[in-house]
Amino acid sequence: MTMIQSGRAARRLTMQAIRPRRNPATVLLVAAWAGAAAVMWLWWDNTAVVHMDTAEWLIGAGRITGLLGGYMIALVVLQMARVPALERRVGSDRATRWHAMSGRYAISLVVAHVVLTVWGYSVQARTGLVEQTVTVVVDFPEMIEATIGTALLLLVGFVSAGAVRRRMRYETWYYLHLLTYVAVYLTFWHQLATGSEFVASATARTIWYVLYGTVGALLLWYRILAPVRLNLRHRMRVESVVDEAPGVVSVLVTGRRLHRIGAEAGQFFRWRFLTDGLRWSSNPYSLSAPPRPDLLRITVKAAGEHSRALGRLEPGTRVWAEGPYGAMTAGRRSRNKVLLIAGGAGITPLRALFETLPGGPGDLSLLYRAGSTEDLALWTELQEIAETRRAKLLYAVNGPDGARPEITTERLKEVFPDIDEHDVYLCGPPGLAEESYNALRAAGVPSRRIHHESFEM
Amino acid sequence: MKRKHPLRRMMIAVAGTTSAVALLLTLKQPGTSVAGASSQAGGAPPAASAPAGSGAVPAGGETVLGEEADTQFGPVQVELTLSDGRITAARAVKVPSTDANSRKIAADAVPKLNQAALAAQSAGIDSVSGATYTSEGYIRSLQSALDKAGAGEGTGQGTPGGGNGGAPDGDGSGGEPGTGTGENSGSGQDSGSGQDSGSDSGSAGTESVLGDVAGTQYGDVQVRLTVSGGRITSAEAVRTPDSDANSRKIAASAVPKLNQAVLTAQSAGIDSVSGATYTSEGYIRSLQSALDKAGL
Repeated sequence: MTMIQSGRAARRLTMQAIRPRRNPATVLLVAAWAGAAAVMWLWWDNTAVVHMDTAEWLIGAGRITGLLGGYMIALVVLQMARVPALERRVGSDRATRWHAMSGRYAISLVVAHVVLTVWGYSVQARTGLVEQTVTVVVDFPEMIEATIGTALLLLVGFVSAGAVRRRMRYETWYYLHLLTYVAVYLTFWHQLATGSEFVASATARTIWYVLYGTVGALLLWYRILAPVRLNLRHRMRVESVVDEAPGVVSVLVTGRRLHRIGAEAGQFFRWRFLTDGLRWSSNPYSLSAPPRPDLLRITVKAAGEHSRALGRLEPGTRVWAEGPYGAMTAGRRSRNKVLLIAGGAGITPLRALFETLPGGPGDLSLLYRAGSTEDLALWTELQEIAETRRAKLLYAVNGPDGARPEITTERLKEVFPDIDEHDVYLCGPPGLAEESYNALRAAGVPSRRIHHESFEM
Repeated sequence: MKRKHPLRRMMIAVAGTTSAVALLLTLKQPGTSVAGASSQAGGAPPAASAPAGSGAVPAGGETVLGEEADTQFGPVQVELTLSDGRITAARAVKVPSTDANSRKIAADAVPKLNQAALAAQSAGIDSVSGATYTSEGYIRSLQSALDKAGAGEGTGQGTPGGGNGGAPDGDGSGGEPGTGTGENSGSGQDSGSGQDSGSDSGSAGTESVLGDVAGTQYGDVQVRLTVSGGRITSAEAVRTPDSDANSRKIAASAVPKLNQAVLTAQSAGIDSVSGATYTSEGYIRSLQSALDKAGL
């Protein structure tokens, strides 16, 4: 904004700069359901009749759950293929929740498929369950592989259950999770060899090859080739590490033509620092400043051993980054007034947005919540931005007696009388996020205008 | 944040999936075809006296009724039609029918057993999976019928080539034109259906043609045709994929349909049976070679 304009003209300018983007979530969900219906059609088309008979019902249900399970597993893998439509538009957090949810559902379907099919066969052949299981596994084509694959799927499902996962190192869990690919490969072939829908129809087989082939190709491209290309192109290294506040450091990363990396304020990369102890883990950290041609910056609070180790990074360390991911960008916004609520280290993406979100004087506000004034990382630069942009900057810290200032509906309305006319970007620890969300909703901000990324399951 | 109810969501997923599956299965219940299936199965309900309606009594054949064989679910009785020492039709005149499930099992199994008896030309046939008792009863009655036929051997009417218009699967579905009518019809005005019994041992008569073996992904298929007066009067598969239980099952249900289709089409231009594409394709290839040999 070169000129400071006022009133309606300024608002129009802002609105032109916003360009809200539609979230494709609904479209994708509809597509997923339509796909499930199409898969059911495969069954419907192939099945002549199901007689009123225990065995036929069990086998029929086994086939349906098997087909749906095979379809769901393709979706589960797709949801983690880091496809931009999911990562940057729907949001990585939501895609991850979809993945967890679909994963649980797919595993349930697989278990139901196995139990119903073996049970149905044993009723039909009047054999024992154990005997029938042995027959199915040993005699049917591709079934030994499928059995191993199913066991691996169940293992992956087991270690991803909340209680088990919390007791594991993240890296152990992550590498076990990669076994999913092996499991999917092993179980794929029995679907074609024994699924009567596929044995009967070349069309059905083609559909299945296309489904799994597409997922495989997207996976190969977005999880392997695209990151390789990005890192070959930009060749990033650590430039320096700066202390920002107690336990909070910024890592400055240089590289070639970083403004061409395609990142927007509010997004994050998954960072891997190629040095001892950090090589094997890749962690998501938001950019704490808009990308510059030669510089990216992340700001990290020492919360775990990984983030603590970042403080000891040597300049020159090579960096492997994957991204950009995240949908909490300017494209989410639909109103010209914006409130950013940051809690602790949650300031990082909001600091970048605070500088770059289009808006005239008085349109932007940032509320920064921290333990004490000392913990207000990046405060100086926030003040500078607030001054140049004529934005409102507020902070809330605990009282000397440790009393927590609560974010309440009344307080919000008092400070922002037109709070219900705002878009709100929210980033902070779960407690603060939930408290703020509830207060905002009560103050009349509709849910679709509260933008938040939460990586809780 | 937005309230999430994992438990509620889980229950909705379980309930939704279960009801969707149940709905699909219910919609696939046989409606009118229930009657079709059971009449097919019973072949002839206990009224063992008359082979009524099934129309499969071939010309020039000899009918032998096997002993009743008791099973846990009811008696099974097999009736064979033999011609020149070959089984040309097999059917069950009595099957377990005490309850719906028995009828249903019999409806599935009997056509397969009939077909197997034709293919094996002996009582050395496998039980149908899921119908063990019915199968065993069937095999015992079949054996007794064969014993009787053996005792009376030589009384048969020596028609060369033996084959005739009997429904090869004996399921009495009754689609083939004019089978079993022509015992005395002589002049064949009923084109190609009835077969001149006895007299016509000559050129215009009946011949049996074996098609080439057609290999498929799951095993070989070989078709045998009986041709009479330029018409196919019977078709059967003497070899079908049997490497595993699933192939046998698929073949057992597809072959009777294919046999039937050949009789109707009188050519190799028949459709594959859904769910048995490979077997069908092999069948059609062998059929074509048999037709070539027969000069049709």
